Amino acid sequence: MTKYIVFIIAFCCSTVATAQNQDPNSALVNRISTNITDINLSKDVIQKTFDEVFSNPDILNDATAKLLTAFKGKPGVMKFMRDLNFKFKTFQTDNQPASLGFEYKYENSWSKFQTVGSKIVNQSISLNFNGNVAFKKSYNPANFLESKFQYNGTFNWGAKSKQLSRNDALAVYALDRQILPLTGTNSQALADLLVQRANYIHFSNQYYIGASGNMSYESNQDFSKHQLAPGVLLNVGAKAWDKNGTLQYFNLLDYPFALIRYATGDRLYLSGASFPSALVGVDYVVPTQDSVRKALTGNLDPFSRFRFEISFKTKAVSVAKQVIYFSADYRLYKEINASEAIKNNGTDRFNYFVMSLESNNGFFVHFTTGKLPFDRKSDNTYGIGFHYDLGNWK
Amino acid sequence: MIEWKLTDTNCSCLYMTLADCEQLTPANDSFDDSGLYLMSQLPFFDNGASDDIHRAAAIMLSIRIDSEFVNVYLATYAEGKSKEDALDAISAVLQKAEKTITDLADEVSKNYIFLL
Repeated sequence: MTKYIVFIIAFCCSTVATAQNQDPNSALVNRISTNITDINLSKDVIQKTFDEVFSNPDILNDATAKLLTAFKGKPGVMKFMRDLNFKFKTFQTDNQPASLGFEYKYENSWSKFQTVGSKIVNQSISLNFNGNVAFKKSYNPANFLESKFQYNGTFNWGAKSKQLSRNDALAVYALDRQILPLTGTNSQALADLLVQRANYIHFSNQYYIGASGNMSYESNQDFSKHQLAPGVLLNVGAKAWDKNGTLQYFNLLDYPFALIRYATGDRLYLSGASFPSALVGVDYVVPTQDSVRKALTGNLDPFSRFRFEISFKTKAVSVAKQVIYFSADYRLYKEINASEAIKNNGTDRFNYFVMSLESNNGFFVHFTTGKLPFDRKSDNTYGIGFHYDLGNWK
Repeated sequence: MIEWKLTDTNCSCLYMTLADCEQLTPANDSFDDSGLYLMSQLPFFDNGASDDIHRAAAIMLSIRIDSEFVNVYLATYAEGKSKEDALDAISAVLQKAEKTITDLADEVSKNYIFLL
């Protein structure tokens, strides 16, 4: 059986290596391919090769990407597989050894826009599955799986512009033709042309308010804890597209980054696009299995849970040809009127914070702290590395 | 699938619109490179946020993009397509982290007809 698994993985990997010469794992792939063609291979070599491949999430991700690409345009189950965002990853906490596992995410939604007076209304029904699974469950620090069915209705105002005359529109097209070849050069000519073009671009501010009703099923990865969590959410957002308006000055989180941008050679401005988004909600949680909760409270009675999230992403600095973005997301889950036993156990409140610096070439540095419901540990985790795209095999 | 190139108005208008929406920085993001940028690399997409936040950001940006196409570039909707169809298509791409700007341009080409 092991031999077959090794063969399948090696086949995928070798196909990937052939398709992409710059594959960083090509040396490993070639070695595996050579080994597999030797029918007199010893069991130890097979095992060693298997372990080597199976401990490397990058090579497995390459193989998965190739496989998913083959599903493009295919109906039914193949379409489901293609829409599934599946990524191998390693988990590591404290002094425990790194453990291989995977992250999965699937979203499918049915959405409909309508124009109602000056508002644009969007209604959607969506199905979401996401979570992290470690092949050795005791090593999984992010032990939270969520499956959710949701209805969402949103109202949007603004982002309006007076329609340009045909002559003005043609002037914008003409400016675009001069601007585009200069992009990426940081030249004075480009800056001057952008200033000219900006005279034609005037938009009003934009506002968003959305309400959602959802039914979630939450569990840890071995389903020893699980609960239903129907709830309602309200989320709000704004964009300060009007460069002469006052809304942009309320983007308080962007002030330090405006100064950093200015100090590193950019013009002094507050980003209208990077207004933070926030949501608040209440879930009615029905624990269906939770031995810890039952031991603490003596029952599995339903409880209400407050939920809050705020998200922010903005341009931090430009370095050479790279733009580096700063992003942060904070989430809070708080049980309402929790018992003393639950409070003393520290399971009435879950805080989760993630902060990143990412550049357009894929380089990232990130920091996470806290935990989500069912997460095993509340750790500070640092990460540094490169993102690369799984879904763009052409 | 369209090719990301300077002479394609779908691509050039999309690039400049994304720049106006502060999603691209012309001085740093060359037109040629930006076709391969993922949605998850753009400022509207906070990778650490929940899907609820992603959806809200995508809907807002799709409305802003549509408004610029129609009011600045005087684009009309392709035959058999409406404003609502275009918004559906654009926001669907914006919500998917792994989609590229070229994927977005492809949807633009199916839903809009530009003046030039």
